[in-house]
Amino acid sequence: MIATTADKQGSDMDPARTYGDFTESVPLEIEGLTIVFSPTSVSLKERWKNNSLSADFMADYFATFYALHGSDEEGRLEYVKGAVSFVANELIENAMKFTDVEGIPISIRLTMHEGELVFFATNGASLEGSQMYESAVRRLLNADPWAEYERRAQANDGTSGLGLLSMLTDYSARLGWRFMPHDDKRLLLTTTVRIPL
Amino acid sequence: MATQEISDGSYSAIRNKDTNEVTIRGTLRLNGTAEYAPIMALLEEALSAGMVTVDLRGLQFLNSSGIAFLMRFAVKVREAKGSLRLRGSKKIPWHSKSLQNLQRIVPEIRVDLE
Repeated sequence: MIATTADKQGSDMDPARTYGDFTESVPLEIEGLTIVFSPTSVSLKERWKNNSLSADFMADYFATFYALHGSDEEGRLEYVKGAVSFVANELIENAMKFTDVEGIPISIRLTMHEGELVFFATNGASLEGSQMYESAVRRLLNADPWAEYERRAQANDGTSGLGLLSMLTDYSARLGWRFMPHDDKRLLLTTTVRIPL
Repeated sequence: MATQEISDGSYSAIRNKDTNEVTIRGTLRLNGTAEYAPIMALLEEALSAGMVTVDLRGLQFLNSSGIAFLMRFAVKVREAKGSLRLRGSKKIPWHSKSLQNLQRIVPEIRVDLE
């Protein structure tokens, strides 16, 4: 059983703030794959192509298991590979874009369960940087996804904001977030995504 | 055949000036609106020349910034009272979802899944 937490504001006892359908943890013995990045001096531009490579690797890795144990319905394997590659790439891109502090690695873990996939993505952010992400999360939770799609289509502010929305509309994802203070200047952000298979 | 091409190894965007068809192939996962600007300029040039067809049948992957880029182009076509046909593949699962989402937002465009 995977534990989940609904929206929760931080308190003195537990300063973490959670939103959406946050997945607390998955036992380590569950089959999975974790990729950890430790960004230092290499620029975002130079690293960007590796996001896609890592996402495709996750998709190919998982496809090996899915081909053996998953549905053999025609086109299903291609759908699952595409879904893993899209979600993993979007989570890595977001983590790379929102990480504005040093010393906290970016990680993405994909675990495989009966009937669903669970992604965990973590990254560090400054208090200031995480505020923008936290307000985007709040807006997403309260918005009608199609109205938000329309709004994003008209926007021209340099960011798309469509990654998490597409997970909801195209892959029936259940999304969750945790904003956990790390020290007085940094937060640890965790995004969880569950995709039905 | 007169063509214009933008490519970087993982993707190519080629405009055939004779047919005004733009073919985008490969994996397109650029970083934000700024990196999509050269391909947007190529599409806008096609739009100014008349009816545009964008062939995505060889486009395996597109990130959310790329979906937003296609959506912005579809909105530009509507504003210019132009005509846009998107060709996708039934064999690539995201095509049916994302291209139909696009048509839902901008119903004036035509989407053909082959």
